[in-house]
Amino acid sequence: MFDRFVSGGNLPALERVLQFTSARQSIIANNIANMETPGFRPADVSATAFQTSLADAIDNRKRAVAAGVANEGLTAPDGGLAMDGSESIRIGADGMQLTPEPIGDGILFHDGNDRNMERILQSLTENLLTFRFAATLARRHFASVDNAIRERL
Amino acid sequence: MNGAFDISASALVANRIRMDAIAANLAAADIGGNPDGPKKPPMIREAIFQVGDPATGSETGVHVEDIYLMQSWVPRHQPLSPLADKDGNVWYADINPVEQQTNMMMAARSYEANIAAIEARKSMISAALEMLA
Repeated sequence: MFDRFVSGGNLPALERVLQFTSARQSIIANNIANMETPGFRPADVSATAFQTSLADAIDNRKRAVAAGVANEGLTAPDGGLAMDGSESIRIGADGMQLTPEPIGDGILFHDGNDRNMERILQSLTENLLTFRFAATLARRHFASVDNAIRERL
Repeated sequence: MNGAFDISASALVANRIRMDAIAANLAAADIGGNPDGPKKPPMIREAIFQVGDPATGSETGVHVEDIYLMQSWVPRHQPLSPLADKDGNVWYADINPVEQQTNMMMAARSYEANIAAIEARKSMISAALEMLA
């Protein structure tokens, strides 16, 4: 019975968002750390590709629920929301693994590191806000479950 | 979860070492010497960054791979100095204060950018902890 509170609703999708933003933060931090390393190519994972993939996963689950199919076959190896992985986003039994791809043409500097400070800090901020957004929604979800258990507001 | 702190902290260390190298250059700007004698003029130091962090064995992060010692000396005519060579020149490291100042600002800005990344991570962790409360 309790399973429906954690594997239904928006929580599985929020879990994916938290996993993705948490892993992506390390990648962005690495780009910032190597801002002035000669020959370093900054790398990133496309947040748009992740969101498209997540939207497909949510649609698939909705269709499965509407067709009366239970969660059978819709669960990923790590027990979360089933999602199509890609070359850069892989979902295994140990959660989500990100493989960043080099970004930027690097035509300004001869060593190929384009040192795009504004872009990198923009993605850092967007990533942080997405994480906080998902964390807040998840907290509200748990709070409403808590209210239901206590049977009072 | 704390991996991102390691990455940013390695960059803080690397930039501090770079700042130390710049400080050493500026401090040595007025140390004279004789290239042929026992007391040679100082070398210019430059920190060389490389990807990876040997301290944690991680492939991400950054570290100072080497500090290049560049021999670039300029003469000043000071025939009365005990350090003067046979032509009456004392040799000094060819340190360009403008270049050093620029590098110093870049190191400071880079340090700040990594502090911003640490702050972002801290904010994410505190948001994650709020889920429990």
